[in-house]
Amino acid sequence: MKKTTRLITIIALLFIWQAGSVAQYSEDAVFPVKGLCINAPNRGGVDRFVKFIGDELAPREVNTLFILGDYNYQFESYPQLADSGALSKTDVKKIVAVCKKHNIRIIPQINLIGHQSWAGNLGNLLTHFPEFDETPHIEMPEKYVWPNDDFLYCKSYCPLHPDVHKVLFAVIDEICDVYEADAFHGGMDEIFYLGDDKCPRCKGIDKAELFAGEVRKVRDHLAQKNRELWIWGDRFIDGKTTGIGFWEGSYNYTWRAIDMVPKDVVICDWHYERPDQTPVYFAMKGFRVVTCPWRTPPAAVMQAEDMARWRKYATPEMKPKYYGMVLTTWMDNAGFIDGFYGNVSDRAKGAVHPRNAENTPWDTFKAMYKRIDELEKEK
Amino acid sequence: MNMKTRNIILSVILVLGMNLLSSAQESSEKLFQVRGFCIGAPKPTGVDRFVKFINEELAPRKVNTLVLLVGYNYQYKSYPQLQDSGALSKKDVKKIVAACKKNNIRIIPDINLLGHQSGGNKVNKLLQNFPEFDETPHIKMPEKYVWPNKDNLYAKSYCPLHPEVHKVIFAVVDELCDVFEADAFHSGMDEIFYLGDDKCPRCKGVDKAKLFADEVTLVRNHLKEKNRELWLWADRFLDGRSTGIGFWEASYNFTYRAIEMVPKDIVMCDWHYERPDQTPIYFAMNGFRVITCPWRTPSTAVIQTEDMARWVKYATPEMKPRYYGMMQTCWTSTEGFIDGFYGTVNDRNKRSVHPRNEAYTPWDTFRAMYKKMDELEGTH
Repeated sequence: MKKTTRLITIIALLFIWQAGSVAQYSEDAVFPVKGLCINAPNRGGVDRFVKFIGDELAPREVNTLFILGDYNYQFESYPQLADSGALSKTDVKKIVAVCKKHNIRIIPQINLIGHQSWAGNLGNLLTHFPEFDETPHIEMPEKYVWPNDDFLYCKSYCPLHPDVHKVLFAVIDEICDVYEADAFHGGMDEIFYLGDDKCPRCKGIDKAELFAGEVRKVRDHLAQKNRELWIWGDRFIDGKTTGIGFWEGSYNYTWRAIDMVPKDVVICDWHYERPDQTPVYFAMKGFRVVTCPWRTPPAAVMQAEDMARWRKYATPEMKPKYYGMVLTTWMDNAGFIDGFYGNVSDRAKGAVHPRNAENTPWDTFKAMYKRIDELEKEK
Repeated sequence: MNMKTRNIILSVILVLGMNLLSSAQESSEKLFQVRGFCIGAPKPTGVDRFVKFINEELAPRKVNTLVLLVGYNYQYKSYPQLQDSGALSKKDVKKIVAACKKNNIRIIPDINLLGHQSGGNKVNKLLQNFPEFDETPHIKMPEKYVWPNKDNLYAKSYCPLHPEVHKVIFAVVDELCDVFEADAFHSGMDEIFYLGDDKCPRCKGVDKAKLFADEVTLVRNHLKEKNRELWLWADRFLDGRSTGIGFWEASYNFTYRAIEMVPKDIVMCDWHYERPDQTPIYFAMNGFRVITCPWRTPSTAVIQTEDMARWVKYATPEMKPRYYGMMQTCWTSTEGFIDGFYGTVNDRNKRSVHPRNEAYTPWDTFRAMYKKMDELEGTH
């Protein structure tokens, strides 16, 4: 009996340790979060992605994987929302298994509020629930061009529509369940359509409050199941006065929302060309912040050095806010792997920097992780 | 008028114009727009030595900004009772003004507003002469001052809502700016612990951030009428608790939200002495020009200087001019600093030597920081 008890204790401890090790990062690490943000693969690409995780992410000790899935999953709650050829549960479980094996925390993503269309195509949510459209008066163009008269980058759903959260929370819960995730990424970047003057529910409402309200609502929903909310940081930055611009900063008055959302939301602060010092702003406001480069290796290297330096000299209170680095890819999953192995295929070449062929997401990934490794060894 | 005369006149106008521009407007092309030095004003007997120090040490280092902590060390005409005994005369001041003018150094005189109305167990001239301005008259000055104490008495404050206080303050502020021929004034406003006291009949219950912001704005607006800028210490704009920066160099008394309530043209002097805090980024992102102010830790000052240069280098065009430069602080008497600078540690400067490391002094920090600034300017 004694022996059995001890065995049970050991097994129980192992379970606790396993569960803890996925969600918890080392406070003493040079970079607690070492991440990659990539699209979910197509069904045909799952095995290759699984191999890539084992062969390339694990040796670099990547511990966090944002999987940009949106509707690339065969949802049971709302089957009509699934993309054609979406991932099955079996597909997802293959990814979950390899990540579990290598202690990689998966944070699945569905774009909330914004990014409800892409170019000339409406996304699945608004296709099936056109009543959620924030700007139904703006027609999708036959041929999409940017810039355009409607300032249409992407459609948004109306965060005040009474039925929208029933649908969203169902798919969010389902995607978190299938990925066995203790955190969810809500996207929420580059939202240009918000609080539209023609929306009967939103018009006249402070856009910072509208945005903050949606962040809080999603955060609170996730918190009920002990899940964290991660989002992109751009809507919290005053793009105009900082000169950071209307993509990676906000021109639509949402930036005051930073004082209106719970401090446990994790901010993913993306800047691709300059090593902006904005993570300090987020950290000082009380948020954990990860810096997210893309395809400019020298900028990413400096951003990693900045993050290490901030942590080194921070007060004990501030240090844990400087959470780490997440490389973003913004391209097809298989294309990234092609490029990584030296094949700039049709599906990869769109991500190469137009002014410099050496600036690619895969080269940035390699350069950033090389620098991270050096900085860890210097410690 | 012949062509030659006209050309000469035009050239003179151009040169004068360029000179004017170069004195008040630091070039935004430079890595460090502000190359600053902050020190107590000397006693009358120390003026000549200080002038020599300006010529021999500040000028060669291209110091272009001198924040001079004067307080009541001037023979004010508007309120003669406010002057310290043995205060500077107009003639003394003009010697300093002349030296700075010659070396293109902008003088920014300082009188502590709001806080620092006492030091140790003595109230200063303002509250001695106008005890009715005291924010906390119920707190008696101790016979022997010790810190910490049960009253949390670091320094007394005046009540910013007293109806008479600004008449007096603005008179001395104007007079000081006039005599120093200054286009900017430094109002101190650091380490204010007594603010919005529960027993003050005017302030009790008022949001402390609002009280602080209103006083800053009032002073700023007054200066603005004569085209003068307001500079001040930045600690009350930082949340000391949640950032772990503490209650000296940041605020524990809820004033930090004032950052959203004050005009963006005030200049933030952000002082951190032991850690190279990244707080200037926060001020710059909030729209303010900001100066990093080290004291007596050379290694920290060097890192802070490198930080400032890096921020300037990689900033957007909008943010670049907000990273305004560096300013050495001394927090010792003028004479004591000059003694230390030339290698003499004596009674009047030994307290500013770091208690844990005698190599850490304001004068060594001053040398190290300016050396680093020159290196960085050289590679810029």
